[in-house]
Amino acid sequence: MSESIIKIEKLVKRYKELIALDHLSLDVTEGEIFGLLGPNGSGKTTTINCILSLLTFDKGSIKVFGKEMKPDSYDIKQKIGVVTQNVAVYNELTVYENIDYFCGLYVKDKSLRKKYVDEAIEFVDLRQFTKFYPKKLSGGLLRRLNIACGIAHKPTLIFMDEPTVAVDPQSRNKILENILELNRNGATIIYTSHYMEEVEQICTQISIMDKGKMIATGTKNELLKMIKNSETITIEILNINEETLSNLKNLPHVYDVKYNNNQLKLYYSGGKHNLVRVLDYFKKENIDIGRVYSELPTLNDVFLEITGKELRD
Amino acid sequence: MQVFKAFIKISRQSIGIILTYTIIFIVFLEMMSRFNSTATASEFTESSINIAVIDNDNSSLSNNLLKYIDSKHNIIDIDTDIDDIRDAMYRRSVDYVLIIPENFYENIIAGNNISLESYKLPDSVAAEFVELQLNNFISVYTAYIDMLDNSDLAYEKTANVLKAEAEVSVSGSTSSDEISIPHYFYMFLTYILLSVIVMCITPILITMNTEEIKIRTLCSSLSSVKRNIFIAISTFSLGLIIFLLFTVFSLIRFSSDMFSTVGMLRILNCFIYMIVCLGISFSAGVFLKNRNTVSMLANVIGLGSSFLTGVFVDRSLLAPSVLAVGKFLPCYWYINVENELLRFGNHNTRTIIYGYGMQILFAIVLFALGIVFSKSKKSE
Amino acid sequence: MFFHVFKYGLKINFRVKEIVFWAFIFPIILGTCFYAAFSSISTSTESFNTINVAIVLENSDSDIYFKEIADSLSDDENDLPLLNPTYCSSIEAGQLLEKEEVTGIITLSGGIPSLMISGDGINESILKEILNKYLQSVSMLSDIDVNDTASLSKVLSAINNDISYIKELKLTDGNTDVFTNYYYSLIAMCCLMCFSGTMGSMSIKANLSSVGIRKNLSTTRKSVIILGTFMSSYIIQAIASIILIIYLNYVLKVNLGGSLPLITLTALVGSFAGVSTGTFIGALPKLSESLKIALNIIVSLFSCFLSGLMIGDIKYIIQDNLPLLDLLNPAAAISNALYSLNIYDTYNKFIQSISVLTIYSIVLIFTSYLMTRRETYASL
Repeated sequence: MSESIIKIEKLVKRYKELIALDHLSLDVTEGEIFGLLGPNGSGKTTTINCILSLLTFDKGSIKVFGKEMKPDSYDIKQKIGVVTQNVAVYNELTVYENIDYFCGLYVKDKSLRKKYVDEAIEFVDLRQFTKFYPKKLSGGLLRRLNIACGIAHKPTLIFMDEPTVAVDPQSRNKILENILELNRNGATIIYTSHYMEEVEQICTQISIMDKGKMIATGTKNELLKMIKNSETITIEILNINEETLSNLKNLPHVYDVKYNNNQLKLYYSGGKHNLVRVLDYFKKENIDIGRVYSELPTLNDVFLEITGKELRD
Repeated sequence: MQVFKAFIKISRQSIGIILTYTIIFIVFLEMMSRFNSTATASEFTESSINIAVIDNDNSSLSNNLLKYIDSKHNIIDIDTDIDDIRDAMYRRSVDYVLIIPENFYENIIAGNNISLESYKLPDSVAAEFVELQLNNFISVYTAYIDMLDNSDLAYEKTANVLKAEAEVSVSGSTSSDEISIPHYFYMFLTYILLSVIVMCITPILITMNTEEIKIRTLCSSLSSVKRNIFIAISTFSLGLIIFLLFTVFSLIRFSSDMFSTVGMLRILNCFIYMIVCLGISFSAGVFLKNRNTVSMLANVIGLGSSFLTGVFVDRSLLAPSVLAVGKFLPCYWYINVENELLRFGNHNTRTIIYGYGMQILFAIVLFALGIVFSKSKKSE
Repeated sequence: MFFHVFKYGLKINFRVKEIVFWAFIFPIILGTCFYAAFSSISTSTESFNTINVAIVLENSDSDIYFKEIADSLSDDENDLPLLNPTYCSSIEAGQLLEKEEVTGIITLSGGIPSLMISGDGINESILKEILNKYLQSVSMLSDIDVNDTASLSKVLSAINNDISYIKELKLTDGNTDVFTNYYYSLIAMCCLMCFSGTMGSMSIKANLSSVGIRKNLSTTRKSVIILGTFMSSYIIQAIASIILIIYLNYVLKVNLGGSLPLITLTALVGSFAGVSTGTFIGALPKLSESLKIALNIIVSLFSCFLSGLMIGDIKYIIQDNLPLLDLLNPAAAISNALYSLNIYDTYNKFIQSISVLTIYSIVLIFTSYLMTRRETYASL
């Protein structure tokens, strides 16, 4: 049975009148890639900072590796790595020196440290840039450096706070691959983002936050099952009459039909062969149709349905 | 209009700098006005100084000598320990220490070699005069003792003789005490004005010249010429405001001196210098990239030129070779005008006009430099 | 761990432009300016030139006596005559004075000379003294009976008496040149301007920098990080001040007075004070980075101003009027320490100044430590 690596219970944090975290509860199991999803200002970074004992909180409890995290919990700190939202490197040190410096705050032994640093550089693929200064690196490379600095000491619990903001596609893919590899090597990852596609892509467990509250939590499929919509079919059609519309409404699993600008949208809740059925219908009725495509719901839809807002600003 | 607003916003960040330098300045001013009597008093006036006398002789000569000293100066009591003497001298509570050794009078009369002993501060002109007075007194007094053999009468006659003083008239200038404070105000202002203007305005220009902003403004509907004009107006306005602040302060503080021809010429001098500072600021804004570099530049130019052109250390004490270098600094010509204004009534108008002219020349060169380099950077 | 943090602290500091400039380069530049400005003082003040004077005779018999004196004073059989007289009319004399070709005009009226001058320097004072002496001699002579040859010879010998009865005692073994104070203030400035301390302490606080967050989460004790960072800043500051001292002493050959090891010790303690100040500023909450850097400059320049960096005499005014300020000002403590090494034989003042610096540093370091050791914040 996998252990609970992080356990948060009813966490409350206030900034004067503003409630940043509102009775938040969270459970992260070892070996997961845990995604914290939510719009800007929902409290993701605040949660992480509280877990890391960087921020004080007003109520509730946080346990990391089964113990309470304190500033002098060096045994726990050894196992934790952080990739911060703002790039946290020294502009005055080269890529190599930066990684060496931060690794050295964890690893005393020189030869071991050298090994770790080299491995970290290989891992993020910055071999060609070791002598560069941060100012000369592009956004993507800078983020890779940021990651290397955070994981060089081989932590088993890694916090990644919005690691792909302002990053080119090539670097982004590399970063996501890296995260999967870290996970394969045994690390538990806490991944926060407001980029839904990434969270969907790599996270094994997802929690959606809004206004300091946990709205929904589960695997991707579990979350998707929480909402009504399971499929949306869009059909280009030039003319449509009222009769056709009401017939379409009566198709099995359809709960809503919209027609706008020559686009017909059919909303399904459940059902497996919806596309085949609707195409059959149009064929039978001899109605001409243009392009057809079917979409599955996304986490954005989950968020939208629960909160009435979009995930993306 | 937007350009001007941007200027104001960015310049708000420099309020701290302006305040600090202004405070330094005001502190300096207050110090100088309190200090005026000792340092700035003309070396010429025979002011009375603080003398400590240690009399180990206790003769009629030494007593009369003491009496004479007392009539001209202030006698101060101090401890005889050498460290206390040093202390007192370096704190300027005592300017001169005289020690009358034992049997001084006897030895003088006998014609033996004996001296009074003194401690004095180096380069102290006042001490030189005191010694002149003392030597005079002793030679005259001993002559009378020799002739009359009556110490009281000898003293009376000596005092009488030494009263004889030539009549002196000073042509042209007013009492030096009154004009010295505004003079020092405007001298020190060179350092302050340069520092404040460069440190406030250059960062704004740097920001305006940053590539991204430049491109953004270039893409806007504002033509390049118009943009430059707006920047010029804004820069000038800010400089003018700073200049006015200090000018108004000086008008209030030294009203009697400043509302005069000399005062107006001073203000004009300062105005021209302000333009020069704007020129420096402008060029720096083109060449420099970093705000922090600005403070480095301001202090190197500010302090360096202040020392080399005679702001902090009097011009008369600088070597000709130093002054030759100083001529290449606009500050030098400003000081020329200031020094000439001190002798107003007896002044050389040409020097003043020349001083103005040289500063204007510097300003033109600086602005030209800035414009030329700004254009060449654009084409990169 | 400590050495790791320390080593990287050094690397980082040496690569920051501002630190290298303000700690190493600026003091050297300023020191060179001082040297250029002051080095010629001794030569220009001590050299003596013949004084040009215009003499307007009345063209009567009473002129003779004065003319004789004037002639003897302008006798150029000696190496350097005291006077260079030009005999002319009153109008011509006036023109000469205006053109500054003569220092003064001596006008005889009934055999009595009077003086007209336009400035207030040493030469004018010498002219006055010459006339005074003349009138005093006349007074003495007119008092005695012409036939009393004994008295006459005594009076004449008194008049011609050039003896100085005063022997100057050495006030101190040290360098009495007033301008060494400027160099002391410069050393103080070099010690106190500490950006590395500021940047260092900012990089430790999680609520001030992202790098601070990393440090907070590491397994290295906070106290080790604080100490390592502090030491790296201190070494930089100490090296910079020692380089300055070496430059002043061996390259510019400025006589700083006092023993070099103790001067170095003062610099080391001074640097300690400087790093404490920098660290303290860096640890302050709610101020932006550029504001903190500005604060560094402001604090050190202002405290050095008060200890006499720009106008040497300010130091004395403060000592007389605001002694408490002088006690608490670290720049004043450093320059006082150096000064007392120069002037005094005993070490009381020196130890006092060093103690003040040490206490000041400890207080600031302790406060900074309290501000940076916190690891959990209410808000980041």
